[in-house]
Amino acid sequence: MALPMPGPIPHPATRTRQVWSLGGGKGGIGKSLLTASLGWQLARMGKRVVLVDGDLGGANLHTCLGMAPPELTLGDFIQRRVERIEDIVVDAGHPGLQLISGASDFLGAANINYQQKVRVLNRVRALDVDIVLMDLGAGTSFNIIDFFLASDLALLAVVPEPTSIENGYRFIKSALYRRLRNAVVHDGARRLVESALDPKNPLGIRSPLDLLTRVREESREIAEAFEKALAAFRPRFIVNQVRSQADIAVGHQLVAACTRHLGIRASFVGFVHHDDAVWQSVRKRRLFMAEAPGSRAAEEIRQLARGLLQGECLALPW
Amino acid sequence: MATHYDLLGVESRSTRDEIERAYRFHRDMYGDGALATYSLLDPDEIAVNRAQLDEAFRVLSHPELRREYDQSLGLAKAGGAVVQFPTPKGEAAQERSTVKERTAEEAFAQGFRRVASTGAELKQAREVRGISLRDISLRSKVGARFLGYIEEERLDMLPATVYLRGFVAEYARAVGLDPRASAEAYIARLGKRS
Repeated sequence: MALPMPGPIPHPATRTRQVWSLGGGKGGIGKSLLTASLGWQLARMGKRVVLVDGDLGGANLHTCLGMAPPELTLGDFIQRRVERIEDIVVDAGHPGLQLISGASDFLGAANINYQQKVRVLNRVRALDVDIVLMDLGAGTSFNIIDFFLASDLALLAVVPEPTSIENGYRFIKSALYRRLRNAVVHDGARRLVESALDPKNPLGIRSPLDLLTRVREESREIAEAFEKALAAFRPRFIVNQVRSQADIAVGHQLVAACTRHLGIRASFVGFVHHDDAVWQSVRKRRLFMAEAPGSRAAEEIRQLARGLLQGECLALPW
Repeated sequence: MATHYDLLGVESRSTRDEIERAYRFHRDMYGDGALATYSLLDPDEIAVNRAQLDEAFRVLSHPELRREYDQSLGLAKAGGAVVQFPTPKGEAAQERSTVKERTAEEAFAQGFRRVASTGAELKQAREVRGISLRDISLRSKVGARFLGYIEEERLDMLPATVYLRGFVAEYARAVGLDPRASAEAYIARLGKRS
């Protein structure tokens, strides 16, 4: 696992193909529903979208979309039971929307190696669509984080609850340190990054900013590589299941805390209210976007999709 | 070294209103058990951040102190007007007030008192900003004694309504409240009481 993951791979400029990923560290915060509804909306807005289910705890994007489990999954592709990724893509019941099902614990599983990861990423990227939207599922394993880091748009879902925020920060730190570690080849610098991940490290490095300060003292060259990697790391927060204005404010506070205490340029791209219409639809195994288009959550997903396509984020009013 | 403006995440041209919003936002962010910081920082770090914020707000919300501070940063000319009060938003700003901004605005509209209707509320707004009655008096040319009576709602000592309206408006303006609405609310309330 010493090889760095490649960055976004250039492709013929026939169309702008993008890989978006949605992570969040914690399970049960609505990532799958967010992925399904966001993908559905993007398709409705005329984008050709393929959703990729990478949920570790159990793939269920198909259920969110009201579909039966597809026969062929990403597991079949990774195990080379099917050679072409096109063969595991199924229509997801809405024009322009397709699905690659997970249905096995592959992304977080240790048995996917570097070559397999690159193969998945390259083939997914080569699909003839506008947007590939990956649901990364729960956890902070290297495999999940590598897909997060390799995507063009890295979305991070949290709910305004302590456990979710803690996991969100853990996810960000793990992703950032992995990116920093991969940004340098110098063994000493890599060891420094690795030791920084231990919150009780004897060097007293508590944050990426501490790490940068420390590295600056030792090597200007490595410090520059770190600064570049820091600047390129742009997680986008989505705050799900908000119930109050104070919950929404948490999104802005996370961005401010990331800037100030982690040295990361994050942004806050949207929020979705806790909405009874959502779980009522879930029970019927229907997507609330279609089932309850007038609901608050559906409108907020539409705002989120619009904002993401236009590269917008929520701004503080001063 | 971060300036007070950096700490509050505002620009050096920000109005008092913007500075106050930013201050409240950050106070919440470093509040007891606040989601965004409790797992990121230890209690000592949070205390340091709060103290820095308070100091930044103490200086920037006080007209004189802010002017001195700006001078020390090389931002303002001596004697120049520094404090800007909220002005109607320009066209550019209105264009941006799309859905996304409205939602952000909603998030912060709560909890910001723009109008004070009682002497106690006026006093509280003044103290939060670290402004003395003398500061307001110098600025507004209203005697500090009268300003004190306004706070205490000493009806017997206050001038006729026509003057009082102007005094309260000046007071409100000096502490960053809506002058007109505050004066009207204050007088309407006293009128009912008497």
